Amino acid sequence: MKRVLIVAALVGTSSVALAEAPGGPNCGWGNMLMDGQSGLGAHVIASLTNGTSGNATFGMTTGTNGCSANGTLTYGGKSLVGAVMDEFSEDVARGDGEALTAVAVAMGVEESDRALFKQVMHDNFASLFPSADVTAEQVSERVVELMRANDQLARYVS
Amino acid sequence: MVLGLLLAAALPEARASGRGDPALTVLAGQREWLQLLHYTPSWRPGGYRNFVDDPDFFLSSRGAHDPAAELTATLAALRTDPATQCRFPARTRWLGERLPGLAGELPPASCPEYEEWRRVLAVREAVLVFAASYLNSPSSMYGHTFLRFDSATPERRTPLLGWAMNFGATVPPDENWFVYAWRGLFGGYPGQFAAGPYFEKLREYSRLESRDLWEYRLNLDAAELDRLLAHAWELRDINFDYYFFDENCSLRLLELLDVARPGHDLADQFPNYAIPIDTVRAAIDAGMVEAVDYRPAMRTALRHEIALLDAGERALARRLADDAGADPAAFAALAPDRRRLVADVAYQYLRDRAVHAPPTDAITRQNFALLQLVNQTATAAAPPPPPRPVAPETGHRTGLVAVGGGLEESRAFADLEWRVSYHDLLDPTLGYPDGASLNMARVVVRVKEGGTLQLQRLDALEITSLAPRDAFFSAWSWRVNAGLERQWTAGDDVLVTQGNAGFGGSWAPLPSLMVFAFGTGRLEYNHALDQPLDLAPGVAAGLRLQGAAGITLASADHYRFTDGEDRTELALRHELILGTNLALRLQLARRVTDTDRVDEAGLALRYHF
Repeated sequence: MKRVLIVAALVGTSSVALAEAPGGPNCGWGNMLMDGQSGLGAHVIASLTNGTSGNATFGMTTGTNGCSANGTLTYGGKSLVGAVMDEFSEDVARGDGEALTAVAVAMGVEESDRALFKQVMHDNFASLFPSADVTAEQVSERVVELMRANDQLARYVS
Repeated sequence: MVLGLLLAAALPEARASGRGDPALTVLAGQREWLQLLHYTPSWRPGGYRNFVDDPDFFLSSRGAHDPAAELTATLAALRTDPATQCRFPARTRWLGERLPGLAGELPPASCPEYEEWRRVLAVREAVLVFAASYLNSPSSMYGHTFLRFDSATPERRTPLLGWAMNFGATVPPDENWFVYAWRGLFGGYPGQFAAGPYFEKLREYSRLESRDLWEYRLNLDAAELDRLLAHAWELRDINFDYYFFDENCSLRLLELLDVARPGHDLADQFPNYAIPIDTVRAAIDAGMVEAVDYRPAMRTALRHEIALLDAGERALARRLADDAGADPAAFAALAPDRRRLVADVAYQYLRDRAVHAPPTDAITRQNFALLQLVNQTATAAAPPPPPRPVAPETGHRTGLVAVGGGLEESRAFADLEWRVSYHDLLDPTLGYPDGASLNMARVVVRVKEGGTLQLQRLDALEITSLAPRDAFFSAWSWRVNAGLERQWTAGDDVLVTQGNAGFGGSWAPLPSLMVFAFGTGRLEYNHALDQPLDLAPGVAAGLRLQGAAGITLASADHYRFTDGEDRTELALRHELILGTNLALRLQLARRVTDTDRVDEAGLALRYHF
């Protein structure tokens, strides 16, 4: 599948050892919501130097957000949902936005089908995000289910 | 090319005689080679220094200072070790172009790692991103720049999935907090290029730091992008000296652009320091920018939406942010588009607050409830997006000279002022953050009637950050200043050394009016005081009014030294803006101490260059 390439594309290079990719089974919407906020103090200090902390690499750093998923190093398709879940949930609620576009793009949805993709996600907001405890994995699976159930979008997840 | 042929002809000798070869020395002196190796002229005529502080980047032990030795060593390594071609693709390419015979001499090399990296990145466009000033981060006070590479791959062809490459200090994981702060401020961490997805940069800048982003799309063609990326690969994991006050992140990026498109020598325009917005200007002036996109920070968008609400809606949104079920009757009574706006403000506000406060389960639940409210109201028309402000590069320039004159009591004076950087509370605000002042290296020399020439003022550093408080935001305002200044003490005009700081709040009762109040502290060395080195706690207050006729700043400061000496300073300043880079500033001040009362009036013409 072409989408698999996104994995490599975002990781950049196989030699780069990355810690964890956000968006695993233990990584709920509530956790994603707090992504990057693991202490403002730490952040202020980080910004003293324009710094890149920890696993500074030349490939794609994943950043750590407190979600423990043993990284599959992917931002492609499903796992991108986890990586941008906070922004994604907001865009799904509204029916449009860059994170929603990014997920459509990463899922390989062609430009002509993106409005439909967004509409389907928006119409199913309540089933994508049934509670604050929903995990990235559940949301990702639901995205795929919704696409499968749609005649026009099914071909992207076959 | 004649030179190429000449060099090609000279090659056998070059191989035999090593670095002494004059043709290779000529080649090593070419701009492109110097740029690929990041050489900068040193103080010694004909000498070079290098910000790269990493033996892995040089193939010669003298490489950091000797372009010819490095070139010779590179040629030798290329001929003997195929891995050199993979490690240094940009150097290899450039030498191959200059030395037509070289390609035939190189051992066959396969570089799967590099090629895979290039293939999956599939860069189609480069964007220079400017993150606006962030006063609460010393290394970002002047703004920050980084590069974004947008992909041609269908599955990544959207800005959020672009590849952002940033130059910054590299900090080991689990670094001690104090060491972190200390080294971050005073140096000690190496600088490196690092990269990540653009959406992570957006979180960092747009969400956590509330910084607007400006995206300058560069018109680099495929060959130029190829050179840029080949060189970026060479810089992988390479340590540079990182000087915090240099703001050298922006300079490093210019060096990359110089490699991508030779001939403009952008980095050379900044021999001493580079203010990020000036590097953006340099790229624009070189014709590299084809479009400019504005991306408001999350809080910018929120403030914009708050401003669209009336007082009642504002209060309701604020209540909803605390309790999504608050006042359902009032919410239902609103028109659909107002419901959408109110729900959106409540949701965004809670998100904003969660960024700056430790999250709790309760906040998560509340956030989710508001997200549902956002979803329920989403069928109504969306509010207009935040207006695009004046682009930062169109603001006034960053250097300043001013000439002025006036009266101190009845005695005339003339002033000459020079400021290296950057912006104060009275300078034209277009393109700059409002309510922020950041000045480094400001000198005022005064000639007094009768012929006395004196240093009037020397500010090493002055920062003021006024962040208005309201029902939604409760930011603190603060200021710091250190330097030399004149203080009338016991009838004498004394040059004192002082540092002072203030901490307090500011409020904006009208969009054009800001008032502020600080508790202050001052440390002063003044030989004419009873106690030469003394501390003075105090208070300060003022207002800043922006109008069509310019900006007015009125301020009052009062403080008392521990040995009992009191000082009060009242000042009224008005700036009449004559053009982007030209203004007239009027200043009235009264300084009162236990023994002196001195009035001063002055007028100065200020030019930003």
